[in-house]
Amino acid sequence: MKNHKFQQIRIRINAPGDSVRFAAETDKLYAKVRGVFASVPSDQVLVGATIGLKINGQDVFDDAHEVRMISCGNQVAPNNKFFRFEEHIEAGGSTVEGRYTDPRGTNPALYPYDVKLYLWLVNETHQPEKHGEKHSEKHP
Amino acid sequence: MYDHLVFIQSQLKQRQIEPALQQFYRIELPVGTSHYQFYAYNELLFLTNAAALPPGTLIHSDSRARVIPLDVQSLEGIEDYSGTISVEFPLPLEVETTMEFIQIVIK
Amino acid sequence: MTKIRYHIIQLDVSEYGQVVEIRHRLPSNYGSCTGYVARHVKGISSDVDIPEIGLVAVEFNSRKQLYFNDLVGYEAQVDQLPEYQELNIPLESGQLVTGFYLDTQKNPYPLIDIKEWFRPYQVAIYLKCELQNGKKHVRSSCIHPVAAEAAAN
Repeated sequence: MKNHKFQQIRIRINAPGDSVRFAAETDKLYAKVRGVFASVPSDQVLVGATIGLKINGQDVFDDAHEVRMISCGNQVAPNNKFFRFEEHIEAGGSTVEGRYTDPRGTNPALYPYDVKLYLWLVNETHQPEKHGEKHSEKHP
Repeated sequence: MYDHLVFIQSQLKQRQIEPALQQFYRIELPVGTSHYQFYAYNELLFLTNAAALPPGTLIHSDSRARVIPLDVQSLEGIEDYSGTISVEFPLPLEVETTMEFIQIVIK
Repeated sequence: MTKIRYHIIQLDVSEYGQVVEIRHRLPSNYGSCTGYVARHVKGISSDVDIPEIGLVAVEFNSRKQLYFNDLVGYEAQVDQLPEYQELNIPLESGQLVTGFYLDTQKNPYPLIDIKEWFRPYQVAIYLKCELQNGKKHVRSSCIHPVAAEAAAN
């Protein structure tokens, strides 16, 4: 059984201030969502951007939740990039839906662009982790 | 107009704060003062004479911050401050000014 | 059902030196607050980090619970993931979260009028809260008897 997958969801933003609904499904071969990370092409469209997120019908983030809270710079080590969920978020083919709102950037040359939302899907038993700590995986 | 002491006692009860001591407390600020800082840890100071302070005065404490408005009559009620309290006047004081408080020392 | 909620208190700062009061009611089914982050959202633009743009103070449970004091800065560049500062505050149902945000920016251009350089901005306080077991949020409603009678007629 595979243990990890980083699933990408792309959200197209066409114009400044766009508020876009999105819906996707998690890969059904993975049991749960361990974390989420958002990537945009420029800090200019990151500041003030917001995202609402619901996974498997469960509220994760309200619509006013800043994208900055689930994003980080290029200098950060890959293992520390993801916002980790402290509780069990079901994957296994569950619906991922929400709304992404562009902050109305001042540089028109940036548009259109794709937001990339990464879901860290795993099959291991969930154990709450603190930032920077590792824990051993259970192998099937 | 309401009774300051009744209001304070009622609020302390609601906030489950038990006073060890309740007394009056005054700070006299000389001419030329533009900034004054003092400490009120483990106690609450309820400002009772906001109208005596120049409009635009900033009172900033750990628990509350307030800018005295132009229309000070609209400043209903008295408010408490605690921790490190800083008072900043929009201009250096032209007259000696007194700040009056009801001090509640917490048990 | 997920038990963690990231509650957002948004504050708009429109004037230099402004004090923005916080008077916010949390949903009645929140059982505890386990973390917070206070941060600038949008409005300020600078090429360099600003360590302090304002101060924030928050009290819980209608001024019964210990508060936190923190400063809010501005980051010019996206760096680390914002981390929640740990709290452990049991929440009483339907009580107020109170406090203030104070803008403490300094005019970087002393010869220019304050109104020229100040830009309105937004600050957000994220409260990481846990739902209370088995409790649902109930909106308080007060139906005025006159309105009820009019509706019945």
